[in-house]
Amino acid sequence: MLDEFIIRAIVAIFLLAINSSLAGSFTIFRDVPFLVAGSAHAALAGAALFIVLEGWVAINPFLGAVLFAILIAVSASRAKQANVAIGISFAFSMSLAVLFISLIKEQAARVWGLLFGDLLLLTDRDILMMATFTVILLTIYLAFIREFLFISFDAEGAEVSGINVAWFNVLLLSTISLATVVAMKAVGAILVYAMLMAPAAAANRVAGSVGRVFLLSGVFALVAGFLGMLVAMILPVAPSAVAALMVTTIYFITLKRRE
Amino acid sequence: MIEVKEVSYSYNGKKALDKISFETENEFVAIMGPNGSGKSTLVKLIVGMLKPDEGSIKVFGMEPENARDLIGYMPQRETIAKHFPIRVKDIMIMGASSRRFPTREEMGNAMEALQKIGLEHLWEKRFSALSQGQQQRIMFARALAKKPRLLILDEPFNAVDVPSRNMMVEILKEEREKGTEIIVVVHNINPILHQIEKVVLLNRKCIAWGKPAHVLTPENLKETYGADIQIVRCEEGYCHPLIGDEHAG
Repeated sequence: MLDEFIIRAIVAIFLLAINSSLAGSFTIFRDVPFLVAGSAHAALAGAALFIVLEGWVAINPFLGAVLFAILIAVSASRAKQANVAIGISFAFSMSLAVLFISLIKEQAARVWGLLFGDLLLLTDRDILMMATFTVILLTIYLAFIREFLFISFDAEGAEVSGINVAWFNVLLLSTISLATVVAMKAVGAILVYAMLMAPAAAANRVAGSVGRVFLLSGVFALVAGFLGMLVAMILPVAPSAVAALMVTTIYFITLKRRE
Repeated sequence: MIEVKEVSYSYNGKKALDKISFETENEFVAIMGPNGSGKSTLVKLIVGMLKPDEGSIKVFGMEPENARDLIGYMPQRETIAKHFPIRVKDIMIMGASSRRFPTREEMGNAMEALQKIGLEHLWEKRFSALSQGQQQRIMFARALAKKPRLLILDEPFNAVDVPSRNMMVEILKEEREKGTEIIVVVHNINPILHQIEKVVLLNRKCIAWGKPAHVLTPENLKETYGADIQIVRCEEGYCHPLIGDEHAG
């Protein structure tokens, strides 16, 4: 019989693959690759702040991570050069993270844990949180896929067609940030970039349609996640590191294929 | 019918358009001027993407954002994303329908517009895999697919070869005959000079507005472009300013 940690890891890999398929693909389509890294590091600051505040109010640090990640999405959506705004917000939130962590020295390990994550150490509560947010994201993507694609392809045309581009841009970037925080639970802030971006980037190079990019990026993330977990069960290595190595290798193979 | 009254617009305090006024009455109009003259800014104001700092714009008697259902718009090619595998049919449907699930009629309009420009065989193809000229023609067809009362095209002939450009001009002529109002932003007016009814000569301010024969004078062109522009009269009697391209009938 499977260990409950393994069952939770399997569920997390499926949730990760859904986020990689949807948010990862839209990160590529909307051309905001830096948003995933920016959101992940903003999330660290948010989690650290909420841990600081735990002394006064009982709030889940995960919500702090979500809040800060969405703030970076909002700042990116308002800027003319989104990637510059994300870069500056990244530096700002990392400075805040270090500042907050210095205030909670005895609990700093909880924040640093977010940096690396651990697929095999997830709790039922973590899975519930990941699943809830993934369902919310899935619903948003299914409801607004036409608008998201239209503003990614041709923002001016979308505006003239009556789509509120500014609003849908905030919503799209916020979903990417939210998906980043969800995926961070499983793979940590550093490797989340690989797990969200590389499958979609590889799929974007080989797929013949938008639908296939969604499908292939999910498959790449799923296969890499399971292989990572299998290797970690045999060898003393971190599963998310192996999974991230797998997806980045797939991306490099697709580069070669086109050459 | 477009009414532009005393419209000014600035980017970061720098005036891009200064007190522009003109009024169209269901016509084929070209907006012409050098790079940075405010042509695209004026178009963005007409479709309601930007709001004037001063003055007012009415499209068919309405605020521009309320007239969008009547407008078929083709943006400049630089603003289109070409890095993901969106298919031609998805783009065409985007133009033809504002619904999540387009009707059979809207799908038919999308295909019909593609057939008009002779690219129906590309329906299932990736947009990014097409040549630049084909991409431009697809965007042109998308604007037509909506069967609009007003067509607004921003530099539609960029990267388009001469035979395809002539085909686009023919389609514009047919649209005009059907009563569609047309506004075209062009760097080079010659491909459409025989079809247009009015010209706006622009360089941050409206240098001249009216019939091509009255507007395209050496004095006006010098004021607009800051240099002497040679004018050639063709066999049909039209005066062609020689700005960057050849004369096309």
